[in-house]
Amino acid sequence: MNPKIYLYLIVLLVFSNANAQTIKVDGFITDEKTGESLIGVSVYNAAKSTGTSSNAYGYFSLVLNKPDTICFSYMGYSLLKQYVTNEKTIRVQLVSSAAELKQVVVKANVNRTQLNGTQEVDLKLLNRLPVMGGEKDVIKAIQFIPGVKKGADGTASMLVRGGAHDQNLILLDDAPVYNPTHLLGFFSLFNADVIKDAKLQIGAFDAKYGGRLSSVLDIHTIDGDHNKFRVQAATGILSSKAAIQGPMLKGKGSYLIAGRVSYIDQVFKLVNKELPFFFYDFNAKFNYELSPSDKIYLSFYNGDDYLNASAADSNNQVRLSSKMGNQITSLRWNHAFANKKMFSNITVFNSKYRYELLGDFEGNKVAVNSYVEDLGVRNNWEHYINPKLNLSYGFELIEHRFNPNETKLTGSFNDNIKEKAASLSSITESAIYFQSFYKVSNRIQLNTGIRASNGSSNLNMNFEPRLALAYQLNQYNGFHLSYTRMNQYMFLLTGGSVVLPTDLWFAAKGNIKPQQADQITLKHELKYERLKLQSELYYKQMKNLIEYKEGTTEFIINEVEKLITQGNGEAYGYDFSVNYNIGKFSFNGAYSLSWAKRKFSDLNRGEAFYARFDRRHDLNLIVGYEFNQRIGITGVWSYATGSRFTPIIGQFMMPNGNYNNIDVLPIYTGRNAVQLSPSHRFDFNVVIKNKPGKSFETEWHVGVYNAYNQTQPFRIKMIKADDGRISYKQTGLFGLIPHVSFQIKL
Amino acid sequence: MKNLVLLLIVGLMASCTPEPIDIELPQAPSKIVVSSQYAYDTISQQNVLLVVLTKSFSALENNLPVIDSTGIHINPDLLVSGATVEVITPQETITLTEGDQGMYYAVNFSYVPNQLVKLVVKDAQNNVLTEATTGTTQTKDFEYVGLQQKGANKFLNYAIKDDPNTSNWYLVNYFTKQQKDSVPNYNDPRYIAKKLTEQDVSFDIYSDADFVNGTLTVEKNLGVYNYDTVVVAISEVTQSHYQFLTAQKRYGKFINQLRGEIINFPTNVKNGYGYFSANNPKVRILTFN
Repeated sequence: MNPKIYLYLIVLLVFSNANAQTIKVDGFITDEKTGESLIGVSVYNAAKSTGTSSNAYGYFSLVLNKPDTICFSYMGYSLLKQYVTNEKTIRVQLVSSAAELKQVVVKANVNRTQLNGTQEVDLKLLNRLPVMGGEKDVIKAIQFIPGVKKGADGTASMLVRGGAHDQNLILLDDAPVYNPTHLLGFFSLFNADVIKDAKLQIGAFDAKYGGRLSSVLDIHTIDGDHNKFRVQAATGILSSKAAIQGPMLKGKGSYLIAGRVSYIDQVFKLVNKELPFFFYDFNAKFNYELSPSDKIYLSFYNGDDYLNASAADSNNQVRLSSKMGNQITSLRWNHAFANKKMFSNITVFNSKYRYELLGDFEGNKVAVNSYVEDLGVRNNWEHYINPKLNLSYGFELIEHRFNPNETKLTGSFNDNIKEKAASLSSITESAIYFQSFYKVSNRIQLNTGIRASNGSSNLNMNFEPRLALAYQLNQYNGFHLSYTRMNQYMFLLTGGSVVLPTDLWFAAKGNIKPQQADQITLKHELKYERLKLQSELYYKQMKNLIEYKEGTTEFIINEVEKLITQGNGEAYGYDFSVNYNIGKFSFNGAYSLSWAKRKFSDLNRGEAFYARFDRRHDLNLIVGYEFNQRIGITGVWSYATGSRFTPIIGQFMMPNGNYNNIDVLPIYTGRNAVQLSPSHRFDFNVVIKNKPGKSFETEWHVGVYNAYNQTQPFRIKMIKADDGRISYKQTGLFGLIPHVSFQIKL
Repeated sequence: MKNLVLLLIVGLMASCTPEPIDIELPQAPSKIVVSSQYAYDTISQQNVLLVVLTKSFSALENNLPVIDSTGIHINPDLLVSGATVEVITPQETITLTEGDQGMYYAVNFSYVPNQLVKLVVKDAQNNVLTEATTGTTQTKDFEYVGLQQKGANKFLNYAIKDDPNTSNWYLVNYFTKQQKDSVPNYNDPRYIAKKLTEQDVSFDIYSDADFVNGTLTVEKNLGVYNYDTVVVAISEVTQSHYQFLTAQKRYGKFINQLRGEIINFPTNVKNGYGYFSANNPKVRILTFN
């Protein structure tokens, strides 16, 4: 559709509904005990004919047609009802209830089928899930959502609906995160104890999000207790962490300060093994209420990974060290307007991922520095027109700065490594967007939005339509159809076989075209009492995807355009999830049937091939049982089709270019033509709490990862038997790993 | 107590290595591999076209050639002997003579630039095993500029002139006295250090993109080179031969082998591997004081 006609239709839709007579109510919703703002609280009238939910700052605005009772409903909190006769602003405090213990993976709006395709990550379940080493990890919890695949065993990676690692927009308090992992990808950088809310979109994207093709993970951290000083600490076999929070400035604000440090290197030393890595991270957040309608938030994250490796004998010494990490800052100011119909948030942010490598090869030294940095501003407006119509609009302006591979050499090196001066470059990514949320009738809702974005020096805008239609068939069944387009102006250049923290981000500029994806989804949702079923079909077409050309030989990248090739991809499949809770028992299941393909004229002799993480089946079954208020157990069984790879299936000899030796050259299968064996494992975690009513809370987590010690195929080894025969064996990274951790909250 | 728990857990972690799982990987069928060289033979004092026919083999077989003072030794099972090898040009059809096992040559091959040359390999029953076609090229020379010492390394300077209005591709070989690598060991950081710091002098390939106004100026790093002679051979090659050499050069690069990136080798051999080429090199022996 022509973008101008599309815009005209949206504007027509807005003004045709702007003049109804109504009662406007707005306000902020907080936890009664801590004063923490509550995100996603369902707010609706008694007849459930109109409703909304609180936004990322706990703000809601509801427009009523007549005096009515407003209900506030939130998982883990007692239902609150309030009768409203006239226009007002209210402060709502919800009281935590015993129902807090109940588990679900995905929380949905109580009254209607979800329109925006958002999956809320259940943080209570996150606390109970068994994870490797006992380190709670939000991304590993997200890997249980259908449509999201993990990379290698144990890693905190996300591959969404046929997308690549770099196609996920990850936001921490509104600022983008470039490398969301620690320890070569095995742990995410998000300290689970400071996360208040995490939402994931893998289709039907809101117009306010853009810049990545496959998913948006929006994480908000805890504001800090507004009423009381609190301390919490936890220790496990891999890391320890601590956090403090409390009120400040006479209760007008609050703070949160948290830190985490790993000691996996020291643990390995206990068994005379070397793993010379460790990491730390630090979160701080401050908020202050300037007025009842204005609030500011300052969030800060800093984390680094360190590696110190060496190999030496009497004559030679080689040392390699690195430091890599993120520094993320965001400052937000939000304002609720006196007309009770508008809410604005403006975010200014800076996010930088940098790494330093130092190598000392027998006195010849190399130092490599790289970074990618964002400086940006984002302004979002929410406009509550009438009970049927809400709007969201705003703009985004980000300067992406790159300094790849600044390299200094001391001593003698060959052509494999060349000195490279700092080469700063940048692109400015800008976007404006508009989206309407229109309730056509009690059964039909329509979201129409458009995002116009630009990632180059010219003024050509790329239009990204965002359309979603929901149809409530009856009390239990709803359908949801969506179409979205996304553009991506940056890419992470990764090798085909491994993804490393030293992989570099580059801008799509010059002859490199921005990546683009169009996705269509059709979802059915059934909610019947405590049972919830979701099934979704999707088809995604991707253009201008980026891969290394075959046979990359560069270590220091000078001219990225010469190294890469662009092609197309498609992904399609079926995602299914089931959640069921009854009494002390809970069950969550997630299954994905998917295909992910690529076609590059320069790769695989121009023939189509499967993406590396094309896995036909992914199944996760989570069963929880609460013995009592103190003790609960959660077990997870996971099954996944094996990842793809490109093996060498033959060899041939050719004289080398100088005819003085013979090269033995490989014969490969088609690209990613062979699959590893499927992987499956069972993990469990037991949570033991202290008796309720004490002045402090303690939790023991005891469990096992990969309880029946099954190989999770990761690589192929050639094994030579005693009789000389050679065979292939698949090996994994981890076997059975028990964990124990302890947490205390004061 | 805490340390005891920690030791228990770490001990358990270290002891639980799951059993590897078998996997059957497909194996490529054995096919004929063609390699060739056109060069001046100092013994017969004639230009010789040499074609070597071998067979590809399984990824599970270790058939690394053995190099000793007597030469390079290939597993005889991989050499294709007893074949009839013909080279067909617009002027003539030549049947090559089988010398050593798998090696076929023609001493009476008259080199005519810019024409197609077809190779046909037949078995004893006269069935065609494989065919390949390539183009001949012009003989090129270069302009030697000098040898330069920079720090510990020596640099060879020369220039190649080219017609900017035509597309050309070049292969330059350097024959130096230098130590060959030992067996690769990517797990040993000292091997990695060696590969990053020692100069690798092998062959270079150039295309029009490397030329400025029809001239390519080369400063070839010979590394720490304490000998007085370097042999340089320059050939113009066809575009597809250049692509094969590009792949071969990339595969030989240390960084590529470290990263394990895929390289599919192009070929002009029907139902086979390798490359049939007929470039005519100009060989220069450079002697320094």
